Amino acid sequence: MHEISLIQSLLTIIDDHAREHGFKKVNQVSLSCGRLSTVEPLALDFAFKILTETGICAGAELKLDILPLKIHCFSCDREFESKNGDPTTCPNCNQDQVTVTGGWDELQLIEMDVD
Amino acid sequence: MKINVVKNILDANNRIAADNRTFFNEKKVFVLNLMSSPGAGKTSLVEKTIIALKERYSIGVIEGDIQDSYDAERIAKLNIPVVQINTGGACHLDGNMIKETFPNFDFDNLDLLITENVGNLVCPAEFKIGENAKIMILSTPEGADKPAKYPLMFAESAVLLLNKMDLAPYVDFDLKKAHHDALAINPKLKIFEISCKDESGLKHWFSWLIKEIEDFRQDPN
Repeated sequence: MHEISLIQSLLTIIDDHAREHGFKKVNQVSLSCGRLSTVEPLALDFAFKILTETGICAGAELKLDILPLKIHCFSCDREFESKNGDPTTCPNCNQDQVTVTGGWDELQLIEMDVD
Repeated sequence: MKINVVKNILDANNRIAADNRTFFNEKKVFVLNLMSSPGAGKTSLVEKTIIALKERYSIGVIEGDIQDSYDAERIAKLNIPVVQINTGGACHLDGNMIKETFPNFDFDNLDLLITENVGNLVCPAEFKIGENAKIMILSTPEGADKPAKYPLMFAESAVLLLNKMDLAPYVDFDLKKAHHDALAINPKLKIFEISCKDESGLKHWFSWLIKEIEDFRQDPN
């Protein structure tokens, strides 16, 4: 539901970069977000489409890379990728002595293809 | 041409929130960001907290709702300055919305600002507003599976208030699971079991809040 706010914020960042680097057209925007960041990819796509009908990003493609949830388990003493998205249990031993090490609330603009 | 950027998309909001925080520090105003799903008891908690603390502190309230001013009217009856933000569809409050309320408060004579976020277990967790602490409420009828289903808000909060404990026996609330899962996500989380209806457990919440406010006033930075 907050995807429109995120895209508005993204477009502000892109405008700042356009002024700084002097580009006039954006072809592709690559984002990454954590698996648990509560971003809904379809809603994000939709928000991007309607907010870029005009302007520097008109017609640009939005790419979203979802970072897998990574969990460090203190019992196993190593890091695992969680397939089920449960941040509270180790995917290997099912114990709860864990801490999330990635795929959490990261939400970043990674790169742009521009002319 | 490719340009590498690597920039947090919420940077703009984080900057405004940090400016708000600096302002609140200067004015020595302690700010709560109260979050929960709709109907968990945010406004009831705000009312109880005001009644308990209004002799001790000067309190202001920001009410965030998609529309209507029903909650703000409830708070205004307690003779407390209250500003209603109608987000008009947005599912959360952000730093700028809070900043725009500033002209409505006399911050030189305010100790505690309680911000009641839009009822939603998802989006408010991502937007800082310049608060000292995020407080979340989970009410027993919602079920004990919520920490595992909506982990981000539990991870971001300093306090979890388990509200409507008076209903727990009737709704088969798994108290052990709620504690276990919430602490697995956030080991530093303070959990208080309360009921705004029969007022049980509220004194522990008030004690926590008073201690935090006093510590903050000693050292606002």
